Amino acid sequence: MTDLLEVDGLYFNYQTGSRRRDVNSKWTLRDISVTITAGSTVGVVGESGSGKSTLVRLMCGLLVSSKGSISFDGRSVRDWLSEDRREFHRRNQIVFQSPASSLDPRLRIKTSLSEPTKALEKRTPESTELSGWLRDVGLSGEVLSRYPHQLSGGQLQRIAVARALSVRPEVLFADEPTSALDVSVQAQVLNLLMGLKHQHGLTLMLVSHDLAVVARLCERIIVLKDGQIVEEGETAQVMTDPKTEYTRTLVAASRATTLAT
Amino acid sequence: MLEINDLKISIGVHQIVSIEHLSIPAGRRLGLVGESGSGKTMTAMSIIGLLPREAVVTGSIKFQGVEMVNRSERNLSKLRGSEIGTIFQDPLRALNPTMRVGKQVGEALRLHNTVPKKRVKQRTIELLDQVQLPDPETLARRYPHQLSGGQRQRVLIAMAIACDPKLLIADEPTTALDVTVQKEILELLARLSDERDMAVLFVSHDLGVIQAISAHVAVLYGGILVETGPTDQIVRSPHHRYTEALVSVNPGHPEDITAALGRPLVTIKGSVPPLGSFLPGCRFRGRCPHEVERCAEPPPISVATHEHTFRCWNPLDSASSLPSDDAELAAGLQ
Repeated sequence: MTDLLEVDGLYFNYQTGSRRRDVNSKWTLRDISVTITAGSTVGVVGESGSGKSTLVRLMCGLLVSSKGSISFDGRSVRDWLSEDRREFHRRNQIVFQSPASSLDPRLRIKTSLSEPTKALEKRTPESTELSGWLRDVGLSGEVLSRYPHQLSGGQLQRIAVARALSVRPEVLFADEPTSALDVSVQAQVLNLLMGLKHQHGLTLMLVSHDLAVVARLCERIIVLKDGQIVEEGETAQVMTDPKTEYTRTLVAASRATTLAT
Repeated sequence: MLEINDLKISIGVHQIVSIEHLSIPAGRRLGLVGESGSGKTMTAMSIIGLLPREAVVTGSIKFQGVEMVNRSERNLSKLRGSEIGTIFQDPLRALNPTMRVGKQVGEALRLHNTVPKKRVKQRTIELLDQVQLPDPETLARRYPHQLSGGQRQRVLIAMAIACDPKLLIADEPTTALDVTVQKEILELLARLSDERDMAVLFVSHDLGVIQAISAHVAVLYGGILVETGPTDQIVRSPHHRYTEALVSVNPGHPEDITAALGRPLVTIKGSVPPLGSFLPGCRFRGRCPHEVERCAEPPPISVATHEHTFRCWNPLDSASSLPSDDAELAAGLQ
């Protein structure tokens, strides 16, 4: 197993111009170091405001860090972005929480689905390719001519996944991919992600506030609190024998509100 | 205390909700579970007459013996906030951003003349204290944007309980909150309902949350009550195939975490059909893996055990429960 992504001593602040940037408590992320091996599935959990979405946005190059480094495949993300931006984005894709807002309402699915290929590979995908991508996520070619408002939340999230995978990425970041979906559809999308991960040998980084979901999918769990990693470890260990009080509280709260049969 | 009979809500040609019977005795907490589009919010809002203008309601909703359907707006607004409290999913949108939260709680008190004017301030602080907000005096002077999501929801709860309602309608009150805060809010609601003998109608898409707060549950699918009864019993031994599916899709917390890792989750085929495209008969038809020929006819209410009813032609535990004529009579059908 090779280390695909390496975060080292990362600090991030949204108000980078501010005089307050040196005040410790103002960092959105503080001293983050993580290593993600190729092909692994890692869960990032924490409460809102803990910085979990910020972390994945930094890792996939949507934000740029103030201090510290992130490297992908042995090269710093900063270099990737200035020298091989397209290649970097092709290899690192992200799926967001709300499928309705990640697809342009004015565009037909066909257009939205073609965008990464056009932007990152500078070519227009064949229609057989488009329907193939949809087939992979369990949808028929019929939806190509539809608009987002004509489809259900589950269908839209499948399209978002298909679009992310259309450029054959190595890493897929999923930021709360099922939080906006009904419970019955949630399981479908999670199974889809697991299946595609195995099929394409993806590295998957899943952000979720739902420990029950993370525990079913991820081999490792990273727990964030106030912008810092408070715990990191194998899923079974984090869930059954948490090292910090904070993780213990999170696990207990999740158990208290997860269905007990 | 709350008794719903033959309630039908429709918008245009589409019937959104059709409930033969549902009741909440005083002090009881009832969970109403359903996916989006199941009609759960419509059902809850019909009780206090907060439905879209184009919605047509027929049947009967009796609150403390008084009919609520087609009641005048003036009458209803007297009840809202006094006899019946309501809390919603998004506390930020439910609060006035330009008004200090203490004043908003006081407004609820003044509106219904619950306490003499000079005692409003003191009562506001007491209420904020009862919902376990730290340092209520200081907090009362804050604006909504200065509070966290959990604190805002506590303020809304304080407003909802200000006039000692007999019934609290809680529509997904913890969905927007973190798990840890969710747990605290659920504990608070349970305690307040116990202390004040206040009935709660808790609406949620999450059966796990409902199990944590209410001993009784009603499962709604496509606007039809498919199963009702004690929550633990229904979760342990669901009879309706939809409830069975709803329980099994829950990722849960498996005993052996390592063994469960990466194993596919149980799913329900397809998704809730859009309004007006349900097949005739049982609403779950087309998604149900246990469909039989009779499912094309609407299934009658059957009784599993005392308090536990369901409507399914091919239930999970069919030996112990066959459609019963008594149940139909009891529910006032046909």
